[in-house]
Amino acid sequence: MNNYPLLTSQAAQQIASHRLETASVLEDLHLADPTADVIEHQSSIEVAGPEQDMGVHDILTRCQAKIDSIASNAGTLEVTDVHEGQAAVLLYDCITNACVPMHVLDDHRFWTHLSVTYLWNFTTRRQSQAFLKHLDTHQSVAEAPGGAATSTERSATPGYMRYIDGNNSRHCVAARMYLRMKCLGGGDEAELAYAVKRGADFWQSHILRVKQGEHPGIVRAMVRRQANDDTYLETEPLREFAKWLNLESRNLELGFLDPTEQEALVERLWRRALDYQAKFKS
Amino acid sequence: MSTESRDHRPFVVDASLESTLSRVKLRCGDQHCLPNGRISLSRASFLHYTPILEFADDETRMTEYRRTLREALANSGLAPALASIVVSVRSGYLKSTDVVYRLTLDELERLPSNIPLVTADRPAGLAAPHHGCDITASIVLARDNDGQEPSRPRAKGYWMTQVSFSLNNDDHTRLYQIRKLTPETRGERGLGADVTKYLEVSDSKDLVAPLDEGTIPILWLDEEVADAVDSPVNNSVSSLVQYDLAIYFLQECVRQFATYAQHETEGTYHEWNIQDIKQSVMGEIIRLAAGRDATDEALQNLLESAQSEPEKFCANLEDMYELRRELLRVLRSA
Repeated sequence: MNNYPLLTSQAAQQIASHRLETASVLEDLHLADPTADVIEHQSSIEVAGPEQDMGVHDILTRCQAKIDSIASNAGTLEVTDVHEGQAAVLLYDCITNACVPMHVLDDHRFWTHLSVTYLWNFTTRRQSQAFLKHLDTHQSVAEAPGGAATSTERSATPGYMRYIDGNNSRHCVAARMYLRMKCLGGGDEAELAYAVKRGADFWQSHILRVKQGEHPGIVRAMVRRQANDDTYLETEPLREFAKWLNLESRNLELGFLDPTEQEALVERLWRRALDYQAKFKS
Repeated sequence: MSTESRDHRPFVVDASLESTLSRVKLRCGDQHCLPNGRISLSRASFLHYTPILEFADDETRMTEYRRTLREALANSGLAPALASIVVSVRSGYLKSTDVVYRLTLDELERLPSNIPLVTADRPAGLAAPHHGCDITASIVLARDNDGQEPSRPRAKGYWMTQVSFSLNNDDHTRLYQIRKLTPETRGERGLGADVTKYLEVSDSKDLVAPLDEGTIPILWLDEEVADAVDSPVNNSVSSLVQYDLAIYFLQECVRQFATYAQHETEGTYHEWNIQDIKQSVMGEIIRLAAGRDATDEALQNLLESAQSEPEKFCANLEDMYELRRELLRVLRSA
């Protein structure tokens, strides 16, 4: 039997809000043990499965240490999309090693739990603006005459919740990191996860947001081209490519094509986008 | 795969081929549905069922079905070896599409009347009890067919007919709960004695939260009106009242969503995307309003219209329910 921890969005907001209340700068959000104040709020799901050498908590704790070191080694406060890609490889390996069943991965509470615990330090650094903004709000509310937040400020869902709430797998940092690897078809070409420089919009808008992202052959072909300086597409030509691929996909059963055919489809449209880019520049 | 450059265009497919999947059923336990339908299961049972795609309910009808399919291919000028049946299972939340069955139609005799969607492995979508999955069956071009006339599909993978089904958990089926307005509950809500209906949404953001996450709205109904609507007499009027209630519920949700969306988008993060709210009350309303065959793009356009022009959207909900026609029917029969 294995136990997988879960946390509701409401509990996550309560925990995060409390952490933010006691922090004044981003560094204050870094926690040595982000699981400590979560235990009383979490539940778990017990799943029958092969006995593992290491418990789920231990596997995730070890993974957290590696991912936190990526953030620490970033040098500055800015944790980039490349760092997110490197962390994605570690997280995917960890989840695979922990044999987390698909129905647990489908439970948004699992991702919410990961976000507030093992990935809290990384998430607050990766989406620092969302958290900093809230720290600022706290300060300005506290400093405002009367010191009380308006009802609007009290009721609105804080912006940082989109990054820790597993409900939206495209935005939640933990879920989207795992899905980046899933979209690539697993760890065979893991380096592709961090190959695209300044790739946040590429992954967010052109892979995670669209159905084409569910086909690893398509995703790998796109990443290889976008990671290569000779075939890199600027924002506008990339959008054109995405539009053309979307139009083609409406008439196509993409899953019926083998990876070579998927690559050929991307190649055809990518060439067209490169031509468009060349004309665009000239 | 052809490498020619060409623009997107619709393809002409013979009507007989287009309709070959229209009677295919999805079966799960003792439930079944037709294309564009949905089967809801409890979360607990979701993982234990093997959904089945049913082409015919006995071998005689299956023989007839194979014959129809063969004729439809011939009508479209396609050799059976040029077409395949493909079945896929998709989970949007898990970013996964698995092809669970494929057969080239020159082997049509091997097409079983029932295709179980779980074989050696359970596809991700069928292991997704929280977010459910879509099941799609298509007849596609099995390989490039350059000899075809330009208006026909020519590249491998282009589908000539396609149908979809949804499988989700039964927490997603109820959009609201009905409670009766009694003198006491009316008083607690500050509602006058002649108020017949009132929609209570505890928090507007529940309208865009997954149905298993937020609290579903409560539709309060005057107890005597509710009993009278249930009464077997006055069927025409009862039916009209039910139309009115359904439209009232939808309109109130849209208005509250529009107000909430406007507030949330001011200086904050929200870019409303249909993919984000598909499993919510608003997502379901958009799906209802869009109709069965709506594309994601059409759903997105409707969502934007609900946000930017809620009054027009609300008015058009009457169109969705064909209220005018129903109203005239009742008035003329009175």
